[in-house]
Amino acid sequence: MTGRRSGRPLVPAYVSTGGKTRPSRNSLERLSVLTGLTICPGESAAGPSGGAGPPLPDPGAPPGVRTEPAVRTEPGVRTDSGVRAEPAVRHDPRQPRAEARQEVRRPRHTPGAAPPVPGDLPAAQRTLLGTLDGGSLTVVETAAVLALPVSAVRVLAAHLIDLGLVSARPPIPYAAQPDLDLLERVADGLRALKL
Amino acid sequence: MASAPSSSSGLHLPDSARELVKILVAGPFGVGKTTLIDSVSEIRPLHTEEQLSEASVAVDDLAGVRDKTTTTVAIDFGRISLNGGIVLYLFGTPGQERFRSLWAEIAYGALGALVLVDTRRIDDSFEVLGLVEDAGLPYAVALNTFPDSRQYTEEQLRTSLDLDPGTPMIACDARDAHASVDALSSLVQHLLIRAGRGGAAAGMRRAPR
Repeated sequence: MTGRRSGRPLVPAYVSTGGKTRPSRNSLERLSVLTGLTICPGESAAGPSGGAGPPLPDPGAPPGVRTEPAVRTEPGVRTDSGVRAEPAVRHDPRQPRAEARQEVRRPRHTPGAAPPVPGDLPAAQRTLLGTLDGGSLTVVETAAVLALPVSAVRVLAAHLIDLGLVSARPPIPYAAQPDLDLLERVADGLRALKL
Repeated sequence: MASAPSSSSGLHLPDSARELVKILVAGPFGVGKTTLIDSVSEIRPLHTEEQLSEASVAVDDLAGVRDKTTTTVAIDFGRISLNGGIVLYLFGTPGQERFRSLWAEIAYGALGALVLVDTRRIDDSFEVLGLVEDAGLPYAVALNTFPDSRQYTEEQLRTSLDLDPGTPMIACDARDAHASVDALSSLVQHLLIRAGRGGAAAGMRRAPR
């Protein structure tokens, strides 16, 4: 089977990748939930709003006033609004910044637990990280928002997971795989919707 | 990419989301899959562009679609947040044989499928039913009613679609949220019955809520 002209034998994948495996990539389903563990600095430069179109107004700002410069260096600010109106999250020089971020930003994660965002993080990954700024999204929703194929988002997200910048969890906790109880709760939920 | 966040209002998952489940809304083109999803979804239906595999391309060519150079298909989806931290995703899944490669992946982990049928062109639904059955998904049939639909008896339709007697078949105006939720409920009741618990009994027990 080793019919290579160079004579170099085929090597197992785990050797050719330097022993680095990426289990996260294969486990990402369409409905796996991606959560950003950190705030992407300079998101505005490479982020979703960095392309076409003017930045949207700050929901916490008086109408007609642009409070943020086009390019910012402070982490944790975002130009895309409307996802959640949480003006306290934005960096405002008048507010105690650390407090605001710790209290509102990521209640489920310890701030500082995630490594800093590498400066050379590719723009695509940066954009994805920016998309998760404001809440969790499933893989398929992220793909729809970024107008990317699901497979591409899997690769980008896996990279971010490997870097420790994003966490992923399966759609249903492994301990509670689809079962009768879950079906009943779905049925109950649908019934409640109609009321 | 640039325009996406402006339309993502309320897109991020609620913090209460614990379990994410999916149901496929399957049917031929134009049967009303996206209409149904739109009528019940809490977000405006989103879509992803899916690449078809090489094998599918070959089938595509055989089908005589000569000028079709792109081999992508848009998959629409929406979601409903239910009580108890459950988020139900609805995936509109095309019913053509050439999308078979997509089916395995999209059907993975799905609770079941709601197969939409247009009674004006019942033949179009045979492929879908085949794909759903091959995927091993339990399903219910929803008859999307159009003004000019011919009236058939349930027996005629069941015979025509070759449905198992236990498979639910309901009329459903896909534009109507209540009708769509009813159809989904019928499916889930069917899943419960299949899973071994009487849906009616479960419904009665929990009726006082």
